[in-house]
Amino acid sequence: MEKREKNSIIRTEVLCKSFLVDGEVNNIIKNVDLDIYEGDFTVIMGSSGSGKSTLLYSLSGMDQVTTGKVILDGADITRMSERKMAGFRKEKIGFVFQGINLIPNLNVYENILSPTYKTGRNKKEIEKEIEDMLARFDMLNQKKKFPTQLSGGQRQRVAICRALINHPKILFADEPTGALNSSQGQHVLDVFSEIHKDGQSVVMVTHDLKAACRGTRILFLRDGRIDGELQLGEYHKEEEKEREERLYHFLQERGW
Amino acid sequence: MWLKNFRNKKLQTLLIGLIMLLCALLLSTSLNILVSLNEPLEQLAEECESAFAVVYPYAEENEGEVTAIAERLAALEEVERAVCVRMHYISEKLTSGDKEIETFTNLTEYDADVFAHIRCVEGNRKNFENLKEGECIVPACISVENDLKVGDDFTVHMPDGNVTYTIKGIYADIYSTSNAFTNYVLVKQLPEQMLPEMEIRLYTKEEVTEEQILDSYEAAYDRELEGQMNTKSNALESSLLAVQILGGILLAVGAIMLLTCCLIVNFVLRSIMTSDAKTIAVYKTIGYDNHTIRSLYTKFYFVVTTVGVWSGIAFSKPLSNQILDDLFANIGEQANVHVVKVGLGIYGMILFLVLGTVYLVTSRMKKMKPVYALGNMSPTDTAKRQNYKGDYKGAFSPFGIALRMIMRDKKGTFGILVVAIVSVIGINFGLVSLDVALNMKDNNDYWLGVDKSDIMITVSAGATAEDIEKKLEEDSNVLKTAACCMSGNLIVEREKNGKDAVVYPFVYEDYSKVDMTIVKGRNPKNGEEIALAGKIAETLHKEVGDYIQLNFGQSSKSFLITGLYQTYYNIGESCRLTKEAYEDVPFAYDTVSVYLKDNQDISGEVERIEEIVGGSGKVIPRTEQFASIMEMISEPQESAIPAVILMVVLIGSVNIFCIIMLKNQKEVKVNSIYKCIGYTSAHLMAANVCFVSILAAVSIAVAVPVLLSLYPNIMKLTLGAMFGLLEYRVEYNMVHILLGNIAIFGLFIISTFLSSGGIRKINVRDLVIE
Repeated sequence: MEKREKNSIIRTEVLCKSFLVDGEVNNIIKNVDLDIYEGDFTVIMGSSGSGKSTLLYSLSGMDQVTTGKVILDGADITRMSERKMAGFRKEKIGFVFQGINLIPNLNVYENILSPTYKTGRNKKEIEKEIEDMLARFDMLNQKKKFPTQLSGGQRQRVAICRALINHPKILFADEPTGALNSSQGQHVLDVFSEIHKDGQSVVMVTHDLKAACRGTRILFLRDGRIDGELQLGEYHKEEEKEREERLYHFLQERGW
Repeated sequence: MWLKNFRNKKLQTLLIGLIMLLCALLLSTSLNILVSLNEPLEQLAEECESAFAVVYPYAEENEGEVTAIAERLAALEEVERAVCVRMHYISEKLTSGDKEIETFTNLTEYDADVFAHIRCVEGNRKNFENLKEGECIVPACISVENDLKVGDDFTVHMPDGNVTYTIKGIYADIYSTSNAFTNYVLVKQLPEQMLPEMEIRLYTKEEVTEEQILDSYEAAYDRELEGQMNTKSNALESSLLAVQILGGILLAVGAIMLLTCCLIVNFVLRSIMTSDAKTIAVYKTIGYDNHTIRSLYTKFYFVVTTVGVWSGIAFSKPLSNQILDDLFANIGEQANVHVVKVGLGIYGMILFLVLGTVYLVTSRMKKMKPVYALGNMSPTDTAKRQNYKGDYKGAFSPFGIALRMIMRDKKGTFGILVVAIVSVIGINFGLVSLDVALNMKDNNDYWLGVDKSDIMITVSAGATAEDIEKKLEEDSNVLKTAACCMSGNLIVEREKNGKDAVVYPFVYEDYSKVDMTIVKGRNPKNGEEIALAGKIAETLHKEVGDYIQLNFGQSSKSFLITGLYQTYYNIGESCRLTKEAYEDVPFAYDTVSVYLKDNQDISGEVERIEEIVGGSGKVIPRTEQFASIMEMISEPQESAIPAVILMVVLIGSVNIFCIIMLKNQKEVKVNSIYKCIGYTSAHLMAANVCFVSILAAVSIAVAVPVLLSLYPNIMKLTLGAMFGLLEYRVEYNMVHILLGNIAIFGLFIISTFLSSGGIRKINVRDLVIE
């Protein structure tokens, strides 16, 4: 794997994740050594069952690994207590789900506000930031609405705002456009590109070619192992077709 | 097939079953208590060939007069025979070995005509028929209460020497079933020093009523019966009093808990329906109709209810037997209640309520659209929601999350709140009842209507109250004494269409000098005034300001009713008169009330005063006066209510456990999200604790004042018919209530902690759509 000079924000060492299925051990992630770099928009791709979501959840500390280490921003998250991990998630990690997962009894504003509890930040500063975010994502007039009163794309944008409110070191996204129609998906991907431009490190799992094109670095996963990497460079809308072709070839070479 | 749908709901099923079990246990126990004794008592009366009635002639000491009444009664067409029985009411001290015996008993001469068929509980029946001098047979109620056996001694402490008998047998009879009512100790012959009194046992040819006999007597002899009649059915009712009070209390608690059970079943079902939405949607998409899906739930809850309720009914058997043990022992039987008949009724009722709830809840299935349930979607929500106005810092604290849960799901919260309130009311009802039962003896001045002195001395035969008062006149520890009479009886003259009644008077010289509670009006001040007990006033339809005509044997007199008071004494058939009312009638005080100066040790003073009065009287603390009446009422309650409180607490805790567990299951996704954005399991558990704390605090704040204000009325309603209660006076022990409710609060919190343990196991991976 190509060594880079960028700072590594996540490093895995011999990462393994197994599940017991009907009494048999099923190895999903097999001895993965990987670096995720600061400022990158890393996209993990792979066929169904290749272990992409499992890898994402292992990298983000959302799931326990079986063996190996995950060092995130210098801390080994595989050894953390629940309490410490909770604090770590709040401060350093943002997560966006395919299923969106907003808290149904909180309105838009409260959903975004929810991760700021006990972060020691100034109330006015947070309020202003939420207002700015909502304005930026064209959601300001939806502030008081509850999740069930929003469209899928709007909900996902709220989820992204919530994931970003504590300025995480890294933003994880698991198929963020998977449950959206194409125009809503496009909107959400624009948001991802925008925040990446602002310097946000992003790791996204997807099997959508258009979504993957937004990334700067593509990792291809096959049977729980990294089976290739493609550097796409910074995203520019006008280069979208060319990026898609490069990615298509890359994937074709790997039997996609 | 239908069972497989519920295999992942083992804990819910277990909890629902447990709640059903406890509810059925409570209801079945209370109903068993209420109905189990009737049949054995009727069988006893039949086996003993007991007299239709006992007649207590007013001239009980006049043998000639009593014999004449008996002859007149025997000559009536309805009457088969009337037998005179000689006896002596024991007001003197009674002992067996070192034990003092507290009971109302007559030492009675054995007459085969009356007692030949009494049930032999212990000893040889032949000894019953061939009693010798110095031998006696005691009723089972005295034997059970005082642990007396055949061969033990039984001593009457007469002023001029003790009379001791050896117990040759224990018997049971319908007229000797309780220490709270007069019973009969049988001997061959009364000792000479005992003044004999007489009563008449009346045997009828066929089924007649008390009124028929009284009317026949009046028609035949143109006069009223010169005595009071106590029929077999009255005796039977009196024997059932204690269990009726207890059964009534348990039934009230059981009914409250049944309401809780219905609510919790409703809550559980609704939660299950929500969590089963996808399963139901799948069934719908493959062609199941609502009726078929409903039948899955109905069958399942039919089985759970059947198992739970019948287990409860089965467990109620040993519990009922335990509670009724002493009462059955009083009639020489072992408690063996039959739970099936009562159980069938309870099963039918609970099944109806549960399946009714299932029907109502499952009816909502019609509105369920598979497309939403399967697509994790919900129809556009346009409902207005309460804006949460918590401040920023508090909004996501455990308390803030809890408060938001309440404000944004008012309907669900209201359901939980009702369950909590009902549980708290049930527990507090038990607590207050237990407190009342435990303090009944201390407050016997109110419950019995006696004066609130410190010590009471029952005057022995041959001695006088005046002698005793004189002996205590100069005593430095004695504040004052008051003589009274508690042992007589008077007949209320019948009015047109009125019911014949007898009253047992308390007679004092001056009521202003004694401390005697009156519920309505005032105590009598002179010979023309009377205060009536609530029960007799109700029977006679009399009120303060009315007049009542009393027959004193030789003369008759009208009295103005000046007040009404409460008493269990003689089942509320009592009155208060001044000595002046007896001016033309022979009268003697039989009791002396002693008021001590402040801060005296009562038990020490009893011993000291015993020495002063010698054999002139039986000295007891006032709280022990008529102890057998108070014990009859309070003891079954004292033994049964703690178990009931435990059951109610268990039901309440299981309810809360169930509610929180289901709430957590329903909110597993929300909790995953919270965990994902950095909240700890402890924080989410704390939110649950805050949620329950708020509800528990509100429940207690609502339930306790409601119960405290309603309790006297509930009890008055429950027991009023039996005792004519004017007022059910309760002195609430606020410390007990406070401690009890702190315990309830604690239990709710513990239940919440236990049921919230699952939050720790929530994995944020559950948020992934695979």
